[in-house]
Amino acid sequence: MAAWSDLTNDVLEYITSFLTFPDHCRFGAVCKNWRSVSKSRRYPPIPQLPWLVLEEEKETRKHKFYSLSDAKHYSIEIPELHGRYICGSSHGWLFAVDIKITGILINPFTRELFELPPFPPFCKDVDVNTLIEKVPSDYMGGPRDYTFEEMQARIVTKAILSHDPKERSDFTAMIMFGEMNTPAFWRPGDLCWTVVDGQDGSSYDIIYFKENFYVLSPANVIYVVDFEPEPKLRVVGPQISYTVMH
Amino acid sequence: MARSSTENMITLMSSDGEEFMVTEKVARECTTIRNMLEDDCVITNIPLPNVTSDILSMVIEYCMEHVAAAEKAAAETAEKGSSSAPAAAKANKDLEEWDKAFMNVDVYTLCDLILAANYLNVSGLLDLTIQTAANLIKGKSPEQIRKTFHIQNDLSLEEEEKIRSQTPWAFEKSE
Repeated sequence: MAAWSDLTNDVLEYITSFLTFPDHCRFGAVCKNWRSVSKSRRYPPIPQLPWLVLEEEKETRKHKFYSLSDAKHYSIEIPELHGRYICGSSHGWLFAVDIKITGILINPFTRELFELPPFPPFCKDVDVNTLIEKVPSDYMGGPRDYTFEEMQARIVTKAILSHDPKERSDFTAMIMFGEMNTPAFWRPGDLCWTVVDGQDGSSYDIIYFKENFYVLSPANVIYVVDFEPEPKLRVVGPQISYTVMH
Repeated sequence: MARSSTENMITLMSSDGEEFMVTEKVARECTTIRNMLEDDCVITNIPLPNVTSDILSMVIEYCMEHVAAAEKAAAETAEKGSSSAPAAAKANKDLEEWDKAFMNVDVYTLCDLILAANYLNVSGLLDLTIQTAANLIKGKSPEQIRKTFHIQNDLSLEEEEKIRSQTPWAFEKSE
């Protein structure tokens, strides 16, 4: 009669392919053999409903997550996220902006990380050099400079990936940034973000679908992002009527 | 589809010497045996020194059920020209129910079935048994998992502490 602790590695590894990430962690604490199998991480955890990313706990600086599948809160220590504002998630990766308005792309579980280049200027009048530490004590309303903290939460309004960077090294990261939610993209190796031109007003939302990024404008016009010959938005399809959208 | 009397029969022999006569079609559900048959088509007697008779009889039962279900679906398609979606869905559901009932075994049998499915390379049975094992792990603490599968904890206190400290959130008690 065979024993569970002595199952061959390929069989045990196959079992882990059916486990969620928390179950995988507990699987690795059962015995020595299961531990070595869990460390190999041969298979990714089974996909589950996305976790909700909640705020950072003030005292512990841990990040709070909520798993809908397990109906549980998890507080996870991820030092790379201390003081950073999470502005987007895609394929299990998080986009985060720190107080000096530099961005990272991080896989919170494997801790793989990409440093992103400085974001393009927020709008033509505001750049990182004009940011102030805090709101002046005599501030009475009216126009004033942004604080670092305000800019941290405002600069990137949406961030998505074309592919999981673990699966394809030639992925594209696309953000909407600034007052007009302007689309801009970055690929590994690029030294800066490339702003996508061609739109009259602001953007409303952006998605990736079958090899293309699509941008929706507040006027319900859909654009596709052309990368060649130069990055540009091109109108596709008719304007969507409100009755279809709601 | 009636079973033709000329269909090749294969004898599978378990580790404890029991012989099981099965049709070639059923035997071919095991990729390991299919490969043997393709290498040597006159082979009629296959010893399986890694599989006991009670486990082998279960594997054969699984293969027969799945071959019969596939034959039934093929016959219906041939009769009507195309299979009707609701009928196919019902057949699938019936087979799923059968699988579920088939998995009503103790963890020792489950372990032996996984080994046999892996050795004989019956992909459907391997997926079914592995999924069943994963379901038994789901949501349990390491201690509960050990109890379920009768596993001795051979980790030292220090090792266990180290593992837990890497992802402490995964070891917190349910709220």
